[in-house]
Amino acid sequence: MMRHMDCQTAQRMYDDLVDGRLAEPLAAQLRRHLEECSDCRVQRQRAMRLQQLLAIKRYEQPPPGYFEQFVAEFHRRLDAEMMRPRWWQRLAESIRVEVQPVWRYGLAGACGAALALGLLWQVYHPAPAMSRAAPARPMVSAPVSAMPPAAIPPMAWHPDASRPQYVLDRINITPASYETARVRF
Amino acid sequence: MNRLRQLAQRFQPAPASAAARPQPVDFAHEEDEALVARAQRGEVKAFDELVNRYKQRLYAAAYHMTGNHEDANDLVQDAFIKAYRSLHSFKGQSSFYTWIYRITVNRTINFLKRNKQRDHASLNDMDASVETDPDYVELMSHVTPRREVGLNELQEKLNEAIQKLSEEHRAVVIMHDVQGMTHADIAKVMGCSEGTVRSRLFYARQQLQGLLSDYL
Repeated sequence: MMRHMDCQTAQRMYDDLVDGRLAEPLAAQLRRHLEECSDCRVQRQRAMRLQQLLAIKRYEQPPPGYFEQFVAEFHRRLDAEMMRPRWWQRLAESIRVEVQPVWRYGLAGACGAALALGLLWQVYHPAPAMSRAAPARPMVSAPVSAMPPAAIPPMAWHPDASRPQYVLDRINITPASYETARVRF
Repeated sequence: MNRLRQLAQRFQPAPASAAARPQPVDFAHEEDEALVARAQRGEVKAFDELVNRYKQRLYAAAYHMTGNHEDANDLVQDAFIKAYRSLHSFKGQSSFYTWIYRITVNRTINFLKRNKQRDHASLNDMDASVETDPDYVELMSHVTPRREVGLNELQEKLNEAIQKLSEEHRAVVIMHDVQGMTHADIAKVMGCSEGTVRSRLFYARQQLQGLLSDYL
């Protein structure tokens, strides 16, 4: 059983029906819809009149002899276009500052002074030689237990791990005092 | 003295034979591809032939979209200049006509978008032969019984309605209903799918029917 076509689908297919681009079953379905639907018939009539109206525009013609000079005009414009500066030339022209000759020396002197100040600043405020980057963390290539305590990187400690024991830890050494002896006067 | 004459004769260029002499080229009978190749090699006359071939159709497209004779003239001239200067980049993926048509339509759409407030129609005169066109006769027989309508009024109202469409809808309706291009060709020019062309055409016609309901 053939499905009924809705009005919007039918209206979208008018062109294809007129141009013979619709497959026969679909074309037959559309023709039957147009026979049955009065709204679509009216719409079809209006669409055809609109196309007739638009076709009138084909008769609008430019003034007589207009196209005779077209190629000559093309060459004239092409020559003018070739003579026109390119966009970067126009940009350079637009940013060029027009300075009176009297002020040119002053402007040149000011530019020179600014340059000299910049150089002096570089000489007396040299940039720090050392990199500001954080020092690289030492690579842990040996077991931690084999390292002296100072060499153990802080992050090598696990928070739950007990402190490593070293041989020297087992020996009870009283550290010598480097405090100067009290002198009685 | 004789010796000198002999030497002079030896170094005199030999008269060119008929086969070697360059023949005048009849550009009018050459295909577009051959003309493009010649123009790419610097033969300006070959490009002139292409201009002559397509100037009227491109002018018509720009004119119907802008509704202004002077603007259409400028736009088509600019399109040909742009094409000439970009000829080295034309690789022949599409026909020359599609390429130059696309340049013209894109330039016209950009022009219309830049000058949205411009309301300056400069319509060309209608050719007198319109009055014998069967479509026109049928249309007027339908419209005239309701009220008296002159050709100039019809032209103005039609132009006003077209100018109210968006640039893309206007381009599609002009190419299809005025210039008689197929959906596939319009899709190539506009760089969109045929479905988009059909959709734009449908909505453009709906809008025009509303705007021109007194004349339909």
